[in-house]
Amino acid sequence: MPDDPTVVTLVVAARDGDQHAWNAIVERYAPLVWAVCRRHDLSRLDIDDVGQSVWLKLVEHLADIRDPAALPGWIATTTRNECLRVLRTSRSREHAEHLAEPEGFAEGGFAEIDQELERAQRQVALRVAFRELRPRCQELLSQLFQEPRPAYRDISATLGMKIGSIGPSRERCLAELRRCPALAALIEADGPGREARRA
Amino acid sequence: MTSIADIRWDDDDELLAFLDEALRTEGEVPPDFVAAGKAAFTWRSIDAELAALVYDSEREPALTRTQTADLRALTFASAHVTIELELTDSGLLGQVVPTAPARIDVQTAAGVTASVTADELGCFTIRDVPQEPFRLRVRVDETIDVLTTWITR
Repeated sequence: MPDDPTVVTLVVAARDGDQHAWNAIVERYAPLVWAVCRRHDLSRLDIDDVGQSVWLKLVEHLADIRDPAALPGWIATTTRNECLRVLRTSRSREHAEHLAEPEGFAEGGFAEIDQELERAQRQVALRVAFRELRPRCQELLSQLFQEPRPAYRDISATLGMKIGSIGPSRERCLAELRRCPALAALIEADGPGREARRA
Repeated sequence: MTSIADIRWDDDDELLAFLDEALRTEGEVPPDFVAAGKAAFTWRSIDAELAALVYDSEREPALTRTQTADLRALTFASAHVTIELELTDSGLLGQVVPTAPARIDVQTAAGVTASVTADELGCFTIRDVPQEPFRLRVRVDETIDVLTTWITR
């Protein structure tokens, strides 16, 4: 997993009491916590419980995180452990009451956690990169996500952009996205060969 | 699930699809879940032990609930104390076990909203229970300082 220099900056600032840095950490990784909880099939009530525990633990451990770059992994693992705690509590009750056999979920899911972490890292990088784009690029790309995808004619009307410019602008904006440091670091770590071939 | 090694970053359509997925995933996370995470920063200086929720009647399957629906029983446990709570419309009744004249603070993201002292049996009553998520900080002398996880009504 590539190191993300901004994570280190955020952790160091949050450690010094910077609420904005903390907010940025939460905004970045709340989707990871959420996704891991969903994967464990937790109710909203349980997800809230897990979320609170994870963030509180992180607040408590900010001071002694030795390697801030490892933060996403720490969050994913802690969330998983908290999910298992919640499941154990409800499962042992069910067991005692002979209501239901414990289900086989959440057993040996470390490979799954790795995948979730990988996906979360990729998504964080993409979101950070997207927000660094020029507003014009963000608007255009947002249009292209619409389902069903609007006709270029409609995009042209919405954005006041020539139809002939949409294709080339899309290409330029995506190239810009790839160059944003957060994403560039990920692409670099992923496989420099491919990008080198491209260049 | 696509492994990161399989991603063709130079493919515009693929990049766009992944960007779409990334923004969509973020959009699926409820704002109040994120807000609660941000609020957790308030407690960074508190040097308290965490008491985990070990029982919540609201999580019991409906058939096995022994209490009436308007009473919610909660139990928090740490290494040193157990905190038993009964939450009703009219307030929060609690007991600290082992019994001790504990001081109890009710905390929300905004700060401490109420402080009460438990009697010699460790019992306490909180009349004004916050509507927003809250937690209890329970202190006994200088030796015990415990913080429950967040309680959402």
